[in-house]
Amino acid sequence: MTGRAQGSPESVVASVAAYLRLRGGLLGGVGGVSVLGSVLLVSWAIGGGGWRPGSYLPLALLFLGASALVALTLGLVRYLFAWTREQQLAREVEREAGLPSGALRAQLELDRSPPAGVSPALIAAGAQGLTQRLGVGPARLAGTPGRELGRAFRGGAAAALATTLLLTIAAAVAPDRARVAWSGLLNPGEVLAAGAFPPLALEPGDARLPRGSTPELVVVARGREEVTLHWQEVGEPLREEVLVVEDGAASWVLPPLSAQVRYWATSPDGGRTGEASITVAETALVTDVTVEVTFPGYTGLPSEVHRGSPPELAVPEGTRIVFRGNVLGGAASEVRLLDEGGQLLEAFEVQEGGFSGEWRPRASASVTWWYGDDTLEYGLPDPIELVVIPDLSPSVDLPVPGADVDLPASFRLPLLLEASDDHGLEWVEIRAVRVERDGARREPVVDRMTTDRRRSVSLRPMLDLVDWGLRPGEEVLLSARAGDASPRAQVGETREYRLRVPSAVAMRNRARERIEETGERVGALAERAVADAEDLRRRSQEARMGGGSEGDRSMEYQAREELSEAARSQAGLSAELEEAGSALDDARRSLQGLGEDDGGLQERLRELANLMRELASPEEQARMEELLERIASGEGADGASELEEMAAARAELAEELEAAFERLQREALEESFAGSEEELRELAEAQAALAERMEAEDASAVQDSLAAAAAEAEGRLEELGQRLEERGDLEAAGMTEEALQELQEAREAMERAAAAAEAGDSAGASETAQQAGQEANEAVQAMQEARREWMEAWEEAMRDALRRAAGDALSLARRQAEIGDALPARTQEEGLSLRSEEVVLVEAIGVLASRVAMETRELGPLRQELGEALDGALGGVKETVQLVVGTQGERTRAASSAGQVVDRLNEAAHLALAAMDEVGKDRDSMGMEELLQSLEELAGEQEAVNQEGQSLMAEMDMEGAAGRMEEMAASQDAISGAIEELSQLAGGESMAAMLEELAAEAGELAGELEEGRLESETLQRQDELLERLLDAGRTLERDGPTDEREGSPAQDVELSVVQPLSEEVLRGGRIPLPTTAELARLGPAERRMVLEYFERLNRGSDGGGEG
Amino acid sequence: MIPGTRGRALGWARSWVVLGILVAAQPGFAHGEAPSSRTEIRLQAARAAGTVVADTLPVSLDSIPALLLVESRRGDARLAILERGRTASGPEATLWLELYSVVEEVSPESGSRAARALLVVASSEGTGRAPAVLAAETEGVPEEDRPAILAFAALLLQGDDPESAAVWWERVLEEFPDSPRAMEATLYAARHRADAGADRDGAVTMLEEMIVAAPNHPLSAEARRLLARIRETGG
Repeated sequence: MTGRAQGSPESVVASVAAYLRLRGGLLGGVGGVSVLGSVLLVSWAIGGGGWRPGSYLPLALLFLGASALVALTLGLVRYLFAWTREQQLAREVEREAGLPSGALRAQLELDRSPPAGVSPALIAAGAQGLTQRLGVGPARLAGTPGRELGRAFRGGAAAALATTLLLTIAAAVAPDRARVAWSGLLNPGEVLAAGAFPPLALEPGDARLPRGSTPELVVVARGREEVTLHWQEVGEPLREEVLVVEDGAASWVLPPLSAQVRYWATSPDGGRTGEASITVAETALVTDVTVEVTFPGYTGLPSEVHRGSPPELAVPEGTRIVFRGNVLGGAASEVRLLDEGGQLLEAFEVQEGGFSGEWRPRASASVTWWYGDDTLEYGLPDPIELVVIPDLSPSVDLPVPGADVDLPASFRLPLLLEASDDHGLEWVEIRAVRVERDGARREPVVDRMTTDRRRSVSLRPMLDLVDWGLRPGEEVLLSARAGDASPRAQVGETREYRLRVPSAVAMRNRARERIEETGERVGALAERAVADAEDLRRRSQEARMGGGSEGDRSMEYQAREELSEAARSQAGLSAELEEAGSALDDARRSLQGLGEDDGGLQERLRELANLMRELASPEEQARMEELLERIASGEGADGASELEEMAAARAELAEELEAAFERLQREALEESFAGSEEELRELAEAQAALAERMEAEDASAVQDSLAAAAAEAEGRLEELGQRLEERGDLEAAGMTEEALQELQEAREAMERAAAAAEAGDSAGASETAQQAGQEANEAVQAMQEARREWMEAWEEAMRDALRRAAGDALSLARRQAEIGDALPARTQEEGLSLRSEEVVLVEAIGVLASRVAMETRELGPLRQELGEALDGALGGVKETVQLVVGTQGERTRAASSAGQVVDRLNEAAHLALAAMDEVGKDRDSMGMEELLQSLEELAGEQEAVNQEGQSLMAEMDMEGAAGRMEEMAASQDAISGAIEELSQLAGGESMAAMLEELAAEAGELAGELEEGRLESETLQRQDELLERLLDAGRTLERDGPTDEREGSPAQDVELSVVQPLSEEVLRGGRIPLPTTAELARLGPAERRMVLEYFERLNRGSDGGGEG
Repeated sequence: MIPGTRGRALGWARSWVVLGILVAAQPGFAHGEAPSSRTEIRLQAARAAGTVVADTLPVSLDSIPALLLVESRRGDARLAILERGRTASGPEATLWLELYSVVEEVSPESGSRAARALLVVASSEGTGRAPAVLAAETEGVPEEDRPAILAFAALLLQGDDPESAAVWWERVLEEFPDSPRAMEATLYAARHRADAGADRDGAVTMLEEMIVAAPNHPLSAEARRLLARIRETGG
């Protein structure tokens, strides 16, 4: 190699090249620094929060940085290579040195390879000269590349400086960020590999916790073995703690909170949570809350003020609610009402420690309070369950009865009606609809009450159906309605409750039980009254004997004590009698459902109840109280006399009670009869109905139940028979036994029918069921017979007693009249004789009165009337006894007094005779209305038979005539039987006789029809029979005005004087018909009645003449 | 409902309304004192309703015997007798009530006879004719009715003709010693025998038997007094 001589052009060029290389190197250096710094800055910027595990960014950044460095290096090398070539560089130096182009290069060539011939000195001189011209230094000779590199270097240096500065700042400001970011750059592979772990999580995250609390921070770091928790309380240094992860989480409890704490966590894999903070909640208090509720004006309701937050608030729509209160602590500027979802309902501004505001709720909500922090659970008023009631219909309910029920025996049902309405109630009403047995509904009966716009009412009315005359099998549909005070006047209504009327049998059984109970009670009272009377009499005697020793204070005291005790005993007796009266009222009410079908029992029970109350004797009680007062005040009281009077009163009471006891026993028995008869009838009807459908369906279960019912009825019949035997009614007992046997047979047949039905033998079951029905009917008939026999025996006994009473009263009246004829006595001796006769009469009337009282004890009010008449006679005859030997004036008055005695005895006889007709009338005779109805029905049936007869007469030759004839005969026979039954039930001899005649005629007609005889005469007789049936009804109507009937309001009626019928008329003369003018004033039906009446009267007169 | 029956039912109902109006229009019925018995009610109703249903009205007393023979009018006649017994006074009322008792007990024909006898004996024309009338009226009376009819005849005679009355009572005792009216017959006959002095012993015996047979009968007291008097006075 040729060595470069110092100061040679070649060295100059070399120095310039070196210069350029140096500058290039420097440029590469600052460029590298800039690239590196940029990478770090970018990583700081995007990876400062922690590299997402699995992120490729660190790696990408490194790759970009490295690429940039390589590119820079290669570019510089290429650049330098290009510019440092000798030819290129010599050209730049020549230009920069101002040398002619090629001068340097030529010199260099000469130096390097001097041509032959060229002097070396010349070459050296040239080189020297050139060198001298190039002696300005390489920086000035570098030319374009020198300048370009210089500029690039300056830019690169500035960039390096800037990035270095920024890095320094970033590292200083966020060293952790820088560390996290750059650590990811240092280990890009780990960041990339960390994608397998789930992200870290913090609990509780951002939170607001009360001051002093020690929150537990939890780092959820699944898959890691440890994490680092970093936290820093305001004003405190950053702390960190490496926590061991257990079960996927690590926790750390912070010291008591006094300031805000921020925290986060990192994991060795580069994972990092976000930063969370816990702020300190200061205690705040909302107090002195008042809630003023102002209801809409149309409701008319007053405002309500609640102290404190009411837990529940129900308000109608449109209500204004004003909230007021104070706040303590806290920094919020308003108090809010929030709904359950946290939505703002209303906010009230806090001013000077208080708040106030109005709210109009539109919908129901669970209202919670908010004051500054929705996490506070204390210091706030209670939530409000606010119900905004839309304008609904009134709510109305009937908790009592609350369900479909059987009506009580009293037909009085206590109700509980509850109604409410947001607007207030204008009225409530109870509606009751009677549903008859055929399902027909009657008009509702409405009882409306105004309720003064109350928001709620609770009423306890009594549903009194006593006067409705409800019958077994009927129902009452009960409902309640309420109307509100809103402009729309809405109405709410309950459902309809069914109130069922119990069966007749149930009613009778209940009534019978009550009567029996009361009877036993009255019997016990009677025994007690007897014992009391004896005791009082004994004490009276003792007091009288003791009274002989004047001044014996102990005896006086004893007498007073005994009187006091007797008075108290009277009070107890009175109370028990009142109770017995009430019990009888109950029994009577329990029969009200039977209406008029009770055989007058209700009326008799009413009498008995009244009797019990009369026997309770308020007068006697008042007298006792007066006596006690006199004893207490020390006034003189003749103890012996008082006791004697009390003994007499108690004896009288005992007698009355015994009579009442007898009557009650009888009523109970009668009710047993009626109940059993009714029960058997129902059973027979049910059996007959069952028999009809037995063949078509399996009714073994129903048949079993009927057999069970029959067994129960047997028990009652047996009991009835025993009681009849005990009373000595042996004949009735025997007949009851017969009924029992029939029933037993019926029951056995029922059981057989049930067994056959169960075995699938429907034909056999049907046949046996029919047999059972027939036997049950026979049991009914036997029972009717037994009852009739029992009633008739009793009635006969009563009639005998009354007849005897009348006869004896009349005998005594005659005797009194005889004595009276001799009055006044003319002499003293005659007076004494007459007096003795009157005295005997006193005894006789007394005996009669006692006997009548005893024998008619089962006749109730009549007994009392008879007793009063006989007592009057007794009083009169006693007076006569006094007068007959008195002064002249008294002796004269004695005759008058005797006459009054006769009248009183006649009155007693009249009562007894009149009553003979009435005995048993209300018990066994069919009610007139019922009888009329039956007659009307029979007339209708007869009319149908007559029409069939007329039709058949014209079609006798046609096919099927024989069958129709048989049917007609059967119908006619059935009518005959029905009339016969009616005749037995009808009250009154004449009606019974008339019906018997009709039954006989119908029977004869049936016989003719059975024989196939249908002639014009037969048809005529049928028409006559129909007419007589109708006449019987009319006769019954005329004869039967009773106290049960109600008259129409009085109107102006022209009354004419009715003269007695003349003898001529009675002997058979015809009564002239009313004139046409008179008839014209009547309606068609009345006119017909009058004409028929006259026709019948004249016909009767004709017939009567024969008699 | 069968054609025709509805019209009739309406007719009856209307008649009842008319009757109700008439009854209500009578002063003292609707607002007067409560009737004391069903019979009373019937009587009031009959009186009140006379303009329309005159055949239920008690007619003149004279017509009673005839009406007792007419089945459809018998009830009216009985009511008339009872009503007369209620409204009359003194012995007359006693007789009418006795007649009612007899009518209740015997056949219609016998009852009619008894009524006729009462009317004749009670009338002014009957003075002195009573025994003959009674003899005629009791003639041919069925056996079962005789006790009542004979006793009634005796009662009719008692006031004006004690002698004849005693004879009739004796007949009662003789023919029907167990009759319900035997006690009164015994008493009357015994008193008559004693007063007449004809058969004191017989009277005593009769009275003693009566007292023994029915010591608690209301008339026994009188029998005892009479017995004592006979024994005291010897006559």
